[in-house]
Amino acid sequence: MLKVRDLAIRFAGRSASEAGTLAVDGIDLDLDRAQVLALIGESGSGKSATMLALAGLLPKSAKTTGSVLLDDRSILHLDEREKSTVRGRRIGMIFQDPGGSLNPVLTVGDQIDEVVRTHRRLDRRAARAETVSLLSRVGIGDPAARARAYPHQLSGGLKQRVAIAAALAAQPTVILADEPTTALDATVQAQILDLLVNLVQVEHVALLLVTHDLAVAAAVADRIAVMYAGKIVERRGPEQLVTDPGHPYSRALGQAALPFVAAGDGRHAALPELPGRMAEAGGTACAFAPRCPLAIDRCRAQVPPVVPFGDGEAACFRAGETAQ
Amino acid sequence: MMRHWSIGGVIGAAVLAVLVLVAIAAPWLAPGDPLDIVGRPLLPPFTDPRFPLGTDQLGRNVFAGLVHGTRVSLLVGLAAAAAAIGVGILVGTVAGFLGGWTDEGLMRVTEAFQTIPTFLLALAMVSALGASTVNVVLAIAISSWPATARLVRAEILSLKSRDYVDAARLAGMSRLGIAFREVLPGAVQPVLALIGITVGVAILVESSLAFLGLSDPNQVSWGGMVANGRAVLRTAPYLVAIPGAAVAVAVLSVSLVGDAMGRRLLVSRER
Amino acid sequence: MSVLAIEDAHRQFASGGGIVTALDGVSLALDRGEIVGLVGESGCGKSTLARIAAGLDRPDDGKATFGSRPMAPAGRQIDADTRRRVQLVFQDPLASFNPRRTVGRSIALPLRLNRMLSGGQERSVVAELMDQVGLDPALMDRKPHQLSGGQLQRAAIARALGLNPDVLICDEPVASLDVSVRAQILNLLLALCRDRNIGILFVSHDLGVVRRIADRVVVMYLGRVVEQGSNEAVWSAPRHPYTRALAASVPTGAASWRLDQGRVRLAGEPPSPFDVPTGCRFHPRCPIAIDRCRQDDPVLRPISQDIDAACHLAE
Repeated sequence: MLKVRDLAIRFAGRSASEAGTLAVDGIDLDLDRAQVLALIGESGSGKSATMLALAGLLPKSAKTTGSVLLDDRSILHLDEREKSTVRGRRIGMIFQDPGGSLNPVLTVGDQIDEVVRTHRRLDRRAARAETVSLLSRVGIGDPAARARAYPHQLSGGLKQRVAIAAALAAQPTVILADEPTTALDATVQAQILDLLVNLVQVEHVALLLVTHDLAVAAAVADRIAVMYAGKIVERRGPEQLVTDPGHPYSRALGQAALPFVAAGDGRHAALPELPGRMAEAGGTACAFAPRCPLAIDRCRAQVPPVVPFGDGEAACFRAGETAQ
Repeated sequence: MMRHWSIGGVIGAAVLAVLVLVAIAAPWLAPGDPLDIVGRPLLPPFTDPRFPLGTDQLGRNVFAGLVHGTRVSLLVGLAAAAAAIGVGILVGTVAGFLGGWTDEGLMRVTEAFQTIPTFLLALAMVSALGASTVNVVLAIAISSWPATARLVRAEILSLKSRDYVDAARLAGMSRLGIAFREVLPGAVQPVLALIGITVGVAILVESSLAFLGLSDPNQVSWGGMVANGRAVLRTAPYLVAIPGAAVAVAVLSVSLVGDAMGRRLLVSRER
Repeated sequence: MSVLAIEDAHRQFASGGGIVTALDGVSLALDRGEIVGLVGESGCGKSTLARIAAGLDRPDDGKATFGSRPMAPAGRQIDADTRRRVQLVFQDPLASFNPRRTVGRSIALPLRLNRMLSGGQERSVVAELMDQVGLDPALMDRKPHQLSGGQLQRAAIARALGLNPDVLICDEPVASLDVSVRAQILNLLLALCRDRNIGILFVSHDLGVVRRIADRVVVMYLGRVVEQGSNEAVWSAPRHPYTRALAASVPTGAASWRLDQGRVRLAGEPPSPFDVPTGCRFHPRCPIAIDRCRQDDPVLRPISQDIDAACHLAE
């Protein structure tokens, strides 16, 4: 339903003479209704640029190539008016900072009413009834009263629930969620993750979750795409990605991010490290090779092709091997 | 450094540089006292090579007046702005650091000064103290420090709670050291962006005071020249137009430079 | 006798017309060579406790001592020697460096202020410190914004190490770093603890990180310590229902986590510290609360040899 093919994004340099930076280097994504796809990566991996491109929020100076189809209609190169219909009506958005997406001078009910009314042509009372129903569906107790509250009167977790309700208000086909639980406390994060899993089933929407946290992705997603230096280096189901990663970068991420899986061995034992920093996108070799414990000459000479691996695929010449 | 400046900033800086050179070279460009009667009255510009900009109704050289007026305008403008910014930094710093009742008191005083329009306050002070260059500088300084004081105080309050200030405390830095080495340099930086406006306003207020006759009668001033020329506005409009244009050019160039400095500051802060 | 000890600390702040109780009778001890993990959600008071431990704040009531000397004498400066021995590593490394100073000058500053440098050797000493934390000394002349988060956090640790501290307070030191950089910083801290016998108070909301590196764990909730004990004991068999919920709320990486019906799920969110519930402060969210919890405030008591909990029902 959401189909991304060979998407590349280049940000403009500071002056016309500079080449600019390649943020995303030709990626494919597929997402269906009632499915959760997680896009994970660190800063500089291109995951945020990908999300902005899908949302139509990239700055004008950024050049995009490739195609993004939503229900077989291209949504990549639209004019401003078309963009805003797609963004509001067919794609809902959830951000890291739930306060940032809510208007501080309107009650949360008024804000959701407005979305409901513009997209679904309901009258005032029907809209409020729908708003209350939405708030109730995202797990807010006493929704009629909470609809009359202003954002600053709500806690971080409640605000994120309201933001989710607002994203659902236009009955979108896809929801893009950018680090939706990163700013929340542990117990609240667990609640919101439970809610997202539940909503995808009940509301029958597709969810693209962008996060740096492998554990969060594994808790929610049906499929996980791992991004590194602008490319998708591995695409797997969560279970297999965690227990049997194909790409050495996925393995390193797992060791760094999943303490409960790879428990420490003894007091003050060193943790597995990943040396160095992420390379820039668009090289002629494997971008991970300089940091990779398995790298061989071939990795430094050519870009590894995507090969089938386990229940998915990985872009690595030595997929599935481990360092001795 | 200049390559990050806008075109307006470069033009402003060039014009300002010319004005400063003119002010410095005034005794050589137009020797003698510009208030002396040197020729026939009301000679139009470009008619007599000895008086390129003509003469006024008393036969004084307009070019000499303009050149020497540059001195007065720039001197009063810069001195007043420097004094205003100095007072503003002092008040803002004391209020920001000490907090509590000192802060409350100083801020009420600052607000009291801010409610009176700059020009009216300066006018009242010069009328009371007498028209001399020093008094004009003082009057302008006293009426335009509050903006700086409020800016510096706000910056200090925000910088005081930064992590790097705590880091300096942990390193064992004294309270005075923290004030002068960690907080104040950062708090004073944005004042750079205010300099242009402050100097521009000071030049304008000085000219306005001179126009009303409230300036040192023994010094030629652009504002005074405009006031003089007003009587013969119909027959010799150049006597108003030339010094008036000088005021406009000076204020504009100072503002352009100030604006460019402010923008540069913004860029360096965003990094 | 612990090197750093905080006893029965109380701390309140006036905020927006109300009074926030950040700490309500908290005790904490830290020895050299051990890592104590301090965990809890926002508003639990862990950052206030860290600031008191670092001597940047003082309790309204209660004691904070370092060795035998008071950490926070009322109305007076901490003596320079005590100050030197306790250093802090901040959450946001960029914010902890003066933007107008080069990184090398910032690292040298504590040394110069404490007269631990003689003329001309500043650059070599700074280079040595940078080398010890795995930072290229060539970066010495850069401004903070020219370094990555991981590099800056190393620089912050180098700055703290210059004073040869006994204790390092780390307030969320890896929270702002990328996942793959975290392990580098954590290993550096582990090595400092092991090789230099430095005691580390590791404040974090990230239970996974604490579980990996701490010797002892202290769990806070709304200004109180609700459970503390050895790292193994607290995670393998938590006695306080809040600790159990906290541990269960961290995704394990297993897809089964989401389907786990038996997982402890907490309703609601941490209440506002403006308005602390009566009785046990956890009772409004507690899945096993009984009548007694609504009235009696439980005290922290030893449950077993290596665990204390503040719960009427813990055993």
